[in-house]
Amino acid sequence: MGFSSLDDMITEVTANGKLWRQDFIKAPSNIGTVVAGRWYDLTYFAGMPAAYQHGNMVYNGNFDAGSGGWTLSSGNLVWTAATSLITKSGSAQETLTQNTECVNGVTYSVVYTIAGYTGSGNIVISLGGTNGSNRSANGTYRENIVCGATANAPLTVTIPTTVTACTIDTIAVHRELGFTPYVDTGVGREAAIWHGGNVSTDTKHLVNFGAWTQAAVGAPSVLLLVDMLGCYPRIVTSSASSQALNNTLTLPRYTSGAGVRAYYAINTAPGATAQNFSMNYTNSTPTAGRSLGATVAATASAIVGHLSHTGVAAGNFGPFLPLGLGDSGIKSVESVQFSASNASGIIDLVLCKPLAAIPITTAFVASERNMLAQMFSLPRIYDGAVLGLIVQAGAVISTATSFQGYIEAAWG
Amino acid sequence: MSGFKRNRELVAAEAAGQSWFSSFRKVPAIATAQGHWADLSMSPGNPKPNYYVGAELTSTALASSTGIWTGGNVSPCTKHLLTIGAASTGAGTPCTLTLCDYLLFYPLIDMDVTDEQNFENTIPLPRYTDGLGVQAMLIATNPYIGGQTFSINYTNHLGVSGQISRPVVTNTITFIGTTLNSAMGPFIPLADPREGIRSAQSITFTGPNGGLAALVLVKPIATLLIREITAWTEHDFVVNKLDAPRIVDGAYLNFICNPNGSLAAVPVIGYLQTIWN
Repeated sequence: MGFSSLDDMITEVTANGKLWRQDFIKAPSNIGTVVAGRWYDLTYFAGMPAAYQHGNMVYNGNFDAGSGGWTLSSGNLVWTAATSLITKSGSAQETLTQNTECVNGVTYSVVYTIAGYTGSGNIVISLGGTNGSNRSANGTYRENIVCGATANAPLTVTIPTTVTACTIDTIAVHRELGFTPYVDTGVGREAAIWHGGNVSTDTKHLVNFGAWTQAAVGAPSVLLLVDMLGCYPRIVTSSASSQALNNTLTLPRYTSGAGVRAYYAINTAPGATAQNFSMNYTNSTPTAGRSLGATVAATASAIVGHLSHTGVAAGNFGPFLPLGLGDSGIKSVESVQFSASNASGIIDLVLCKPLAAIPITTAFVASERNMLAQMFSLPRIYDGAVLGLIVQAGAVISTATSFQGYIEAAWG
Repeated sequence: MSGFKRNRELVAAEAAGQSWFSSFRKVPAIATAQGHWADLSMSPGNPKPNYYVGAELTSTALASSTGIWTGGNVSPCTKHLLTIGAASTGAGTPCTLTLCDYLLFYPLIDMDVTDEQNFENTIPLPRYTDGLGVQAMLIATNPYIGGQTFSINYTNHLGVSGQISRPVVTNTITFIGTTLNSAMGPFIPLADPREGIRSAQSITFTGPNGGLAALVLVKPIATLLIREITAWTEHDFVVNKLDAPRIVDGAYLNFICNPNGSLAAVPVIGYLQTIWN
C-alpha cells in the first residue's frame, strides 16, 4: 500500500495503469462584484462538476443533469432541456421519486418550485412516506417534514390527475444545522471532481494539478483543491443568538479532525449589518469548547459562494477560519454565533481538508503542479473524497469567467 | 515483466533502440475560439488531417499509421510516453494541448434531427476494451448554429447499458473542428459511475442544432501547456510528471486543444518521444 519508492510508483502507473485523469470547468454565473483578495466557493456554480447547494440530500435537484437520479412514473413526466426542469402533461396521476439517505424521525427542510400550474387539485411532496402540505398554485415552497419510515426514505412529488400541466424544479432537502457528511457515491457526489473511485487497499495520491482561466478578469487568482468532508447547512445570519449545531453524523474521512479546516460561504445574501462571527468547536485532540483564535469580521456581501469572512479588510481571515491557539484541526462544530442580526441571509459552514493550491498568474496561461517533482507532497486522496475548488480572486471575476483544468491521481 | 521498474531500465531501453521520436505540425485552416476545445486531428499538416470518414452513425476506427506515429506495436513490451515538446508561432496561444488516443467515432450525426439517432456498433473499442478511462466528445464536422441540448445513451465501463450522459448545451462557435460540448470541458459529462464508456448507443438533440458531427471516443493520455508564442514548452513524463502514460499497441494519437483565440493558419509544432520495455 502506497508507493515504496519512485521505482514502485513508475511500475504502478506505467505497468499497472493505476492513474486517473479528470478535467474540470467551473463558470461562476451572476457572481456580481467580486473584490480582489476575497475567496469564493465554486461549488455553487455551474460546470463540470455541476452546481450544488451545500448539504442537499437530493441528487440533481435542479435537474441540470436531466432526469438523472429520479424515477419518473410515466412518459407524461419529461425533462425539458430549455428550462432544465420536469414538465407534467396528461390527466393521469404522476410521481417523481428519488431514494434518499434521510433518517426516519428526523426533521428535514424540504423546498421545491411549482410553475405553470394548470387545472385543480393538490400537489404534495413527501419524505419517507410523510406528506408535506397540499399545494395548488405556483410558487416556491419550503416546509419541514419529519421523515417517515418507508424504506430508502424516498422523496416523492405526487401530481394528481386533475393537474393537467405543471413544472417541478429546484428540489432540495436539508437537515438544517446538522452535519451532513459528503461521500463521492452519496450525498455531495454531484459537487465532486471525480478521482477514479475507491482503490483500497491501495492508497491514492494527487500527482498532477493543472488550471487556467480564459479571461483577464480571472487572473491573478489562486485555486485551492480541497476534500469537502461535509457541511452544516443553512445557518441563518438573521440571528444574534447562539445557534446549536447537530453532530449526530460525523466526519466521513480524517475522522480525528487532524488537518480539517472550516469556512463558511454565503448561500443567501445577508443584509448590510456588520457582523462578527464566533464558533465553538472540538479540536482534533479532541478537546471540546474551543473558540476561534481571533475576532472574525464578516464582510457584507450579496454574492452567493462568497466566503464572507475572507478578504483584505480588518478582521478578515481566509480561506479558513482561524483556529484557537495550538489547534491543528476540527473534529466537530458545536455552535456558531453572529454578533448582530441581519435582516435575512443564510450561510453554509463547510469542513474540508486542503490538498493543493495552484496560482493562476495570467489569463489563459496554464499553471501546473507536479506533486512529486515540484511540490514533493503527493497529497493523499481518500476513498470517497469529494474534491472541490475554492478560489481567491485577484481581480473582478465577471460572469461566466471559467476556470478550467485537470487533476491526475495515481495509486498503488 | 514488461514496463519499467527503475530508472536505469529507461536508460537501457533507449540505448537498445526501444524508443521512437516523432514530430508533428498542425496548422488549422479554420478558426478556433477562445476557451473552447478544438480537435487538431482535423487540421492540415503532419500527420494528415482526419475528416471522420465512415458509414453514417456506425462505429469506425482510425488507423494508427494515420496519427502521430509512435513506433509501431511492441507487445509483449509496454510503450510509454517519455517526452513532448511543442510551440506555436502565432496568435491563439497560450494554449493547452491534450494528447488523446482516438479509439473510434460515430460519424455523420445530423444535428438537425430531434429524434433519437441510433448508432451501429459494428466494431467494439479496439483498445481499452472495457471502456475504463474512455471519454466522449462531440466534434463538429460541418458548420452549425448551436445552442441546443443533447445527451448520449451509452454503455459504461462496467457493461451497464442505458446510461444517459448529463445533458449538454452546444456552443455557438459554429467552427468545424470545435468540441460542441466545450461548455462542460473537453469531454461529455458521464452519469455515475463516471469512469468510462464502452460503447455509445444513441444521441438525441432536443432542438434543431444545424450541422453534422462525429461522436468520438478517446482515451486522454497527457496534457501539455504552451504558455507563450514562440516559446517552446517541454514535458518529460518521468522527471516532470512521473506518470509516463502508457501508449497501447495500435494507438491513433492526436491532440485536442484549448486555445486563447483563433489558431487559423497558426502552426502548432512539436515532437514526442516514446519508449518501451
